[in-house]
Amino acid sequence: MIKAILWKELLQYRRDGRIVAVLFITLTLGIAAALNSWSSVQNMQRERLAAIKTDRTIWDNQGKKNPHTAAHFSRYAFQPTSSLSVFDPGLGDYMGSAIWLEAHYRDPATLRNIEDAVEIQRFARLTPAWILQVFAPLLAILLAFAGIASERERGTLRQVMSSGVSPKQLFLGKGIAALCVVALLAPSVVAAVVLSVSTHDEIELPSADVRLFGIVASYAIYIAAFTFAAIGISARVSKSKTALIALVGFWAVAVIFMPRLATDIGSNISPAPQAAEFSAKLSSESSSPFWGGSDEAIARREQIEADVLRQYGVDTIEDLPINYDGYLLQESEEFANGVFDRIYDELWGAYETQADIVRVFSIVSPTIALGNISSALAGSDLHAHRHFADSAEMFRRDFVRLLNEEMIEQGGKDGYAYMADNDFWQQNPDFDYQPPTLSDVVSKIWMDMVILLLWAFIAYQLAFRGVRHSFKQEAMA
Amino acid sequence: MSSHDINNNGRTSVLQTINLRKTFGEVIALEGLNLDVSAGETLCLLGANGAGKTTTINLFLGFLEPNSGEALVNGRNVALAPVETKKELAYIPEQVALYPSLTGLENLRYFAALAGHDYYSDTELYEFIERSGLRKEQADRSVSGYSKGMRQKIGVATALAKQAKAFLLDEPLSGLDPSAANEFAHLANNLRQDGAAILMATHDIFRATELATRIGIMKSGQLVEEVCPDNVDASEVEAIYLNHMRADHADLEKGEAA
Repeated sequence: MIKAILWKELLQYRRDGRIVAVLFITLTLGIAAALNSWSSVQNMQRERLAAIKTDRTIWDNQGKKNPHTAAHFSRYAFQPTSSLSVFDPGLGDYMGSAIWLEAHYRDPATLRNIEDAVEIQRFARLTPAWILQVFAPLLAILLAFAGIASERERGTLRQVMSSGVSPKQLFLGKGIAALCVVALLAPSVVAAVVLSVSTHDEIELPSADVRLFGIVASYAIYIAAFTFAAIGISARVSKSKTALIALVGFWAVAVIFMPRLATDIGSNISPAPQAAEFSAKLSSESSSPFWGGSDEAIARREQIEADVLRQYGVDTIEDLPINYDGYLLQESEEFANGVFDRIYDELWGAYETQADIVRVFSIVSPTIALGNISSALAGSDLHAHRHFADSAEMFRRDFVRLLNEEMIEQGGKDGYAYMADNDFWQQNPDFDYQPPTLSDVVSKIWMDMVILLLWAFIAYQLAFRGVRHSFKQEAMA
Repeated sequence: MSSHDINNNGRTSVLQTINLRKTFGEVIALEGLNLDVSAGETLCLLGANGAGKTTTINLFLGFLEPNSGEALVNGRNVALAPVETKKELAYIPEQVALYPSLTGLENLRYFAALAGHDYYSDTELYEFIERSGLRKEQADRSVSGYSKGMRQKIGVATALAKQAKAFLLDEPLSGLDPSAANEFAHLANNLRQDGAAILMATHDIFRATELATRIGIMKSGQLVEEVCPDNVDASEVEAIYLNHMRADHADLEKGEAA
């Protein structure tokens, strides 16, 4: 019986020029988005791979140089892209994928975009994920808004009921038919996946297959929620036009306005500092208290000197078996690292508060929950970027320590005049980024998953109870 | 076979009600209704609006649940086996509702499949179409351009495809032009002669006299009189009917005066 309903619904859809046109336009947009996204990721990858190669070549061949000077000369950490970012680039385009690693400073250059991390989500970008998040629910609404209301309007509901069809069978037949049509958008997803595979994968995300399955399942649940809601509303109102107006209104609020409004509210309640303000704070709080002329800074340096003399059992710096300048530089690094941790924790805290505020609004907008899940599984969300930035910072600290230790151990009395050569540079390691595991990712988005499932469950109940109600109403007519 | 299955004529009841009662809040729609229709019989129910004709049909269709009593289809209680009994029934309302973007054939295929008959070939479906009086080329057209009579024929074709034992016709002749009404009456007679049990609710006394093997007059949810058209003509049926309606009117006036 469900098969018969499915067949009839699909036949009606095929003959409805409006649906064919909307489907064609959405599909074209989806494929264009996949190509656009693939091209963008390819370009980014090409540029990044070239930059990594250049960075290493320059570092290896910088010639004779003091190790600490070389630490200022610096290197870059590049965030590798995954193939899934073709489907959902998330914040990748905006948050930057390179961090300059230099001594004494956790460089905020690539964090300038992070300041707008939540706000930038407001801007639409032609990606397969965005097309599906925005247009697939609209298509589901167009397919299902008349599902029950039009049956009642034209009198066929009574005929259907007299054939022994149950409310559940009618609901499932119509729901599956609408989902089948929305599934015709799959070529855009398939295009994204095929293009992803053809893209040189800089890094394999842990459990990439499970992530892909999770993305597909999340979008299916999201679209099903809208389809069920459309059937439910269609069953509750007397006219299909009323259902269409109500559902398009809901779509506009839930899909378009609410995510933007939520990000505005989030950034107003928990504002992130301006880039210049943030940079100035980092510099002043990490440098002056150590190198400055304040009593506190002088006392700190005197204490370090006293400690190191006691440690080596000598009376003067000149008697030390190590290079004291290098030692002091490393001590300043350790001091600054504590400052960086505190200030960056405040910054990330502000972003995470924004994200938590936005998440509250997913109670009225499943699009927010889906967006969080999609970009997290694709490895392109805020948490993925933080993970990369923190890993790069750990590498910077190790790298600067390595250079300072070279100066401490090999510098002797030469100090800043000590020069390392290419043999040393060529032994230095590269930044080897390991993205977060799937369980790490899920621990950040489990609430979004619950909310999305809750949406689908409530929409299912609305639809099923609605169709049952419409059967009762029709029987009484 | 239960005692319910044999009516007073000793024939097998296909459609039967036993002390059927249905109320809608304070309003009594049916009050202890007893009727039966055997295979090869047409029972036409005459009655004013609100007499309980459509409620009776809705109870047979399982759309409503009775307060008490039973509606039986081939001896099965509709309330206990609503899906199974629907498979034995064909329902043709005043306006047969169809899907305008589908052809007549596609509508037939859909409704037949809903009733569990999804195995028919096109040839078989065309046969049902032709038996209902519609031409093959008409069946291939979108039903958006169908007349009411053509829609009724798709309804009949659906009933034939369902292999229904019983037909519930709710004002099927209302609004049909004389030619279409004649055609439909002819079809209904053929169905009855082929062994169908037909229960028809109508206001049309003359068609009822022409089609029915028995005419039941309903008033206030009860079957107040049964007439055999073999023994009376249409004008006599009309007189009997009006007599009941006048009595009803007099009762009303008496009540108002009191």
